[in-house]
Amino acid sequence: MSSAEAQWLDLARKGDDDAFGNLVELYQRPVFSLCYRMMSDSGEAEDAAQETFWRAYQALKRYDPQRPFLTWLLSIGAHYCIDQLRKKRLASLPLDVLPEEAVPDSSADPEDHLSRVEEQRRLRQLLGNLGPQDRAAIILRYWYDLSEEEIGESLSLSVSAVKSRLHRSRRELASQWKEPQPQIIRNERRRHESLIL
Amino acid sequence: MNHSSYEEWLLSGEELDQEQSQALQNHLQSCPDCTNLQKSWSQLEPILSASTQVDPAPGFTQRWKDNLALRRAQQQRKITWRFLGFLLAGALIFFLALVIPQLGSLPTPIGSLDWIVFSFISILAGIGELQEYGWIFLSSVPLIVPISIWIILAYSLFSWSCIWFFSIWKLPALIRSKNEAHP
Ligand SMILES: [Zn+2]
Repeated sequence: MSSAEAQWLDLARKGDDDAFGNLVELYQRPVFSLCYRMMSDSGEAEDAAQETFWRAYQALKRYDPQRPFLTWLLSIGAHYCIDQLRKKRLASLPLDVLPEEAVPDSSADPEDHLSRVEEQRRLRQLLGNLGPQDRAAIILRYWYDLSEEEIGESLSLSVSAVKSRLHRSRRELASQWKEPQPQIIRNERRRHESLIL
Repeated sequence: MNHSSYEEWLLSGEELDQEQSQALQNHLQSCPDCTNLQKSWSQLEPILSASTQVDPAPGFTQRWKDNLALRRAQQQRKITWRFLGFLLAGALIFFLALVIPQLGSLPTPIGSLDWIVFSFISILAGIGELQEYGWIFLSSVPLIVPISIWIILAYSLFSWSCIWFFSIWKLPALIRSKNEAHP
């Protein structure tokens, strides 16, 4: 944690709203990303991210400074999204309604870029097939590099429960994963070109 | 060793020693399921690890600040209503405590009506009597009581009404700030 960040946190804990606003600015991206991965919808992700910061704001006095602030925020966000998904029983979403995701276009080869876009779309679809808590465990493990202990802390699970959830989810993801077909990539390219034109 | 233990080795990403990886290789040669799983996972894992984060729509922090103001106002209103509800409930309990003992002695609806009419008349009569006594009091007392006492009485009445108003309007905010300081 940088010294500015520690200072904002300290001020925010004393009731300084502007300092908390700085923390929102700093952490909006990871928090929104988590909510987006969980909810698969940018509108719902926005609401969930705003709610996450509101809950953190209200619970700030209970935050333990020994713990990384981001991990604490992610824990609040993951709990909220799991609750929302359970309420809605939104176990899976049809692929068509998933929004377009910006994949950074670092390569010069458009074919390569499109295949990565396709990969990300399929990955999101597979994630949508997992149960809310399994999905959260996978997201925290791979997008945020949290250890199994940290995931357990964030999701209120024991380490062995995290291990078994991760194993089950990996197995499910891998068994559903198939290499993208060249035909799909060609279709994707046609769609992409028609959007540009 | 059974099939599911090999699956765990394949997916956990933990380092295997030489003996374990040899056992795994032997198993893979005889198990098409594990071979497929290994193939899929080796494609999927780098994609998972390479996934990027997504930015919210521009102006997220401003929206947060607007939401904060809105939510705080809502919370303030809720506390005020709760406080007023508490006062009202107190008044209702007080009223019922006065009325319920009277109801026990009223067996029929006509009796109740009788009682209400009777109470109404006696209240009116009481007010009339009070007015009478008031007049006697007001016409005689100013002559006995010195003017300084009247000033003190009027002043204390005024202070009490000020305290009453203050508690109605400011107490919810005070309670809230206290709660925030000691959650
Ligand atoms: Zn096997």
